[in-house]
Amino acid sequence: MRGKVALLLGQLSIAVAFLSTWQVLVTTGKLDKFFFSRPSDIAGRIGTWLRTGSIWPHLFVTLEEAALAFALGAGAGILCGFALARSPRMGALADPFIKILNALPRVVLAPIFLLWFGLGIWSKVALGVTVVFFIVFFNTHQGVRDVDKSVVDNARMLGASEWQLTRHVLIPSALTWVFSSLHISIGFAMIAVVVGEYLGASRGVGYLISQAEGVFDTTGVFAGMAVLSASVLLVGLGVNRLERWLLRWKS
Amino acid sequence: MPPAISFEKISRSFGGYTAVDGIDLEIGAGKFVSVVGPSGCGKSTLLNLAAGLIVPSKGAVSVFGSVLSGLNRRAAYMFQQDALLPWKTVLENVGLGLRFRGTFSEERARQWVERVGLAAFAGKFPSQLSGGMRKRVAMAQCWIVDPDILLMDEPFSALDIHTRMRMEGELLDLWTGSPKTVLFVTHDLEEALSLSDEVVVLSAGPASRIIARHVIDLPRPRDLMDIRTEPRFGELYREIWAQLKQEVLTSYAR
Repeated sequence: MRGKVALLLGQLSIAVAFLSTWQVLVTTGKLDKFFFSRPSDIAGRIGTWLRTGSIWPHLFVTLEEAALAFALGAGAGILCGFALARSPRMGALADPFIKILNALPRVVLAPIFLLWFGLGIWSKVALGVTVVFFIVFFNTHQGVRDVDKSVVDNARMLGASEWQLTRHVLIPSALTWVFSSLHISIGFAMIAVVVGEYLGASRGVGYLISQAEGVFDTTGVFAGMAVLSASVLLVGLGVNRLERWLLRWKS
Repeated sequence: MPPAISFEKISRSFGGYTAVDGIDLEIGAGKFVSVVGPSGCGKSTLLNLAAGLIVPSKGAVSVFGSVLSGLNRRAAYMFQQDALLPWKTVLENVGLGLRFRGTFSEERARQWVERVGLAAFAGKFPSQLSGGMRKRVAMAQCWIVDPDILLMDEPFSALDIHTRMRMEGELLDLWTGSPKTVLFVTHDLEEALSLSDEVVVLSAGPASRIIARHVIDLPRPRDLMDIRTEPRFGELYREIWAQLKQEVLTSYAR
């Protein structure tokens, strides 16, 4: 307990030192305010956003896109991962294409998705899906193939049919891997949709940042960044809880 | 009554490696038979053949007189490694065989959990149990489906010596008076002697074969805590160890 408090105090003092150094450097003119803004200004901007409530629609859109991207990407990833792991032939057939697609930097897809799906949320969801899908796909694939052979043999000797084997052994094993990559895939989903918004949107935190950038409003850019990391952290905390509950048998 | 398991001129190869060769062995119904041999002599292969998890390259396995094809539905298998489902509780694991057969009853699962002394742990997950407790769960998992044959692959080898003796005692208690046949694989001659009606010695691999069969005429019921100090135990031990030692030395030399 004492160690924990000391750690927290240490972390807090690093943050305070960093922010106050920044504040002082800009206030005394050592750093240009135009390029670096100021922590106090940034905090003020976030305060205004919260007071007027103007931030909520943007934040809500970003979270909605990320949630949709996660749900769709994870669903497709689990299905494909399962199918390809259970059928080695299909797996071998699909292998090079999956590698090629996964090697593609997702950012370059954003403009294409903008053309295909328009400026609304679906182009961002699509970009998020391409990120989440592969994480979940590889984890599911691994999870199904990695399942302990004696656990499978044991279930079969106890009389499990193919479907029972899938339901009681293979799916839980795959889900273990998916759950343990949950915060990575959700974090990546957030990043991907923000990149999408940044490149072309009419709403969202990414859009907010790119708007501020367009008018050289560094305070707005930093404030947007702060809001973004705070919400990713909050979501991450929730996901960690969920993960611990889902994997409670792992002690 | 036909033998519970009979191996008829069995050979089994994996790729170019022959694990067992020319195995002829009958396991009488209701008997407790142990197979001993040096590491890597194909003991587990015999069990997997009897379970139907692998098929012989030559020869055939019969179960109660009919040739085995597919999995052996009259047998339960207790594995050397942990084979419990880690995401299911003790109670769910114990009842697994019933669930797969569509005859799940929580009451029966609970009875078995109690019978192996884990009533207080019914809701725990395997990772929260000690090694000995996990073995108890595995044992209940096998017995609840009321198999005619129990295949056991060094089930207690990972346990410390005292837990091990207790588990052996519990196994004997369960088996005594039941009509079940046990095929027990171990590399520990003392364990084989103290539990079995018969001990089968396998030669060093590859291409292991049976080199001797010994009837263990120690009276039952047996007190596992003291049986090792009985004179007849010592005689049998020396007799069989003389053969086993040769095979162990051969397997070292390879």
